[in-house]
Amino acid sequence: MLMENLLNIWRAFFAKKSSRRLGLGLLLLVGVLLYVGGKRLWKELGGVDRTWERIQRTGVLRVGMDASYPPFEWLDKSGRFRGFDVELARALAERWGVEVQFINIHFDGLYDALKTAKCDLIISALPYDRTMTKDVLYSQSYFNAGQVLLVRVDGPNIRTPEDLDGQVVGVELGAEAHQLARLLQREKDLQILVRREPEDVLALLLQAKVAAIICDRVTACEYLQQHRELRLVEPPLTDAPYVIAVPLGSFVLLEQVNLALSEWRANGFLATLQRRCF
Amino acid sequence: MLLFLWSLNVLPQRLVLVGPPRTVETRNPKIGVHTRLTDEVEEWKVKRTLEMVREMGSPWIVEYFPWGYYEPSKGHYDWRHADMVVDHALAQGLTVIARIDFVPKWARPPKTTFRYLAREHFDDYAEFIYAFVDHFRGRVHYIIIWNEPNLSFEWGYRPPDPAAYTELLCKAYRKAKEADPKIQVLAAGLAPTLAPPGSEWGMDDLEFLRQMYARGAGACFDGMAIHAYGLTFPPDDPPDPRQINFARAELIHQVMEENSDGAKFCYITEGGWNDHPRWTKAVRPYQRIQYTIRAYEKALQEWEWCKAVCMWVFRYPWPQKSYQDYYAFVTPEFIPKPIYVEVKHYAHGEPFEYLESVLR
Repeated sequence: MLMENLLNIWRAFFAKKSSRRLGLGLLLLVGVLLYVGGKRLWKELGGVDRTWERIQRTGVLRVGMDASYPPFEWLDKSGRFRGFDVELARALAERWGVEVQFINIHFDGLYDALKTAKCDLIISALPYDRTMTKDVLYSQSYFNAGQVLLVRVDGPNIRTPEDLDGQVVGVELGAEAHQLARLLQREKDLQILVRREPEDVLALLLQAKVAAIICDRVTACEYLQQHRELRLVEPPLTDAPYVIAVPLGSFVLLEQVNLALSEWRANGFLATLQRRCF
Repeated sequence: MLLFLWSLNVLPQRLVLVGPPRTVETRNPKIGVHTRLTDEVEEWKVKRTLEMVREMGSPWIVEYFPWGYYEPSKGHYDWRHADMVVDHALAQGLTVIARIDFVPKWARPPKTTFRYLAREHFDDYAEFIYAFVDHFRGRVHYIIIWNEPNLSFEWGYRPPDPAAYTELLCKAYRKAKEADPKIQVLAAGLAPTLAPPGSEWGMDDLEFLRQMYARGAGACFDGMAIHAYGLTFPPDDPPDPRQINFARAELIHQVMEENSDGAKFCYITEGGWNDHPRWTKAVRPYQRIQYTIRAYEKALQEWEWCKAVCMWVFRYPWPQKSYQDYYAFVTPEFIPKPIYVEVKHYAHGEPFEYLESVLR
């Protein structure tokens, strides 16, 4: 009886030509989604994590990075890899009881290197890129490099970007912060003071010639360490989360990376590393 | 999703008109930019990009026309996107330099990259050049044959081969002239590189050019495309074969003169500076503005042999999430960066908004 009723509804619906077309479209869409989703799920869950297996078997973690981005990664005069990401990679290797091997690759070639198994993961001040999520797996973010507001502890009470109304901000000429300040200026009564060098922008704040400066978080971290009279305004004005990328299908490796990052965020290791490297 | 929209009969169509012809107002007719409209789907974005190029005061653009996009199967051409880009560019009063490469799947072995062009497909490429030049006759006057052939990447990770490139260039040149005798065929911009002899990644650009001439390339191009990146050096940093800087363009021209080819024009089809805050090959943003404007001025005042300076890159369709974003003049959302604002002032002979007077 129920089946017969359902069939009657089906027949009535498809009696109209437009409904037939709509139904066909919906069915096709559902079919395509099921196929694509199922295929990916099968690949993710059904296979083995060959990258994690290889790391365990060989005892070597191969890290792809472009060592030209201090303070995250660079080569010192003796050709040694240095920086925040380098320390992070070493800590991961130590945690997993394997050796770390750094592979220096130009930034443009990092994803290709990962896809062709030239390295096991990428740790290279790598911003999350949603257009790449079909090609790699991303870890949780370990650093947000977006633009932030930096103010004096004893300066005007600026807690949010809204408090910038009627204030003067300092930015580096031509930088992303400058572009952002120009955008903020469209909505607020904001005066912009530009300087050529980042240290001159900092001087504006230290001399209380501006109420705030805009810079990226890496720069802000450096300034905060040097000047206790400064304060960071959270949340950031823009987000630029840095993540670790692993090959598609490396679900165990990804889980291990995320586990480590979660623990290190909770026990303060990431913050310590940040203070040591910036 | 398209199927779903089709079933609802609601495929959106936004009407974008090419508009009346405009002209570029500029005090420097050599200003140019490399646009990146290949993967820009929406027509209004193509139009807005090119409007902003004109408004900045840049009469030249270089645009990439991938062979693989426009000849998806042998002998079957689909010019719709290319037509749209070129028509909008012309309406804005811009001169288009077309860079043509990217091997279609049907013209390369399986599991090779889109840069892998085997000798047996050189004729296919040349035939595409014929089709392109024929189709755009009277609209596109400059074409570039391939890109940075002194890099192994551009050979599908095979060693760079000046002889093979010369052969390709000559085949393409003959077919281009067959289609339109007035077309200006440019030899590919070489990647400025100091790769040592025998490097698996690339060949020194000056050496590659010398070897091209030795194999008779001089008879197969009308002009030379040059890639002139300044890295951390100002535009007036003197040329030095052991250094990569903007003035390395002079060394390319010098090789042309050594081969009695100095009368041909050069076109900088990629170049400029990057202002990523942490990349070791970048400069500060104010320096990027200064150097870019000075480079345009230098070409105007000192480089008679250089007809255009097209900086990499005007705008990306989406964020590249890398140092590449710091080459752009405009964000993907069409927000002009300060460099755009200042170049626009320079091109129109107006006082700078932020930059102190560096040229006057």
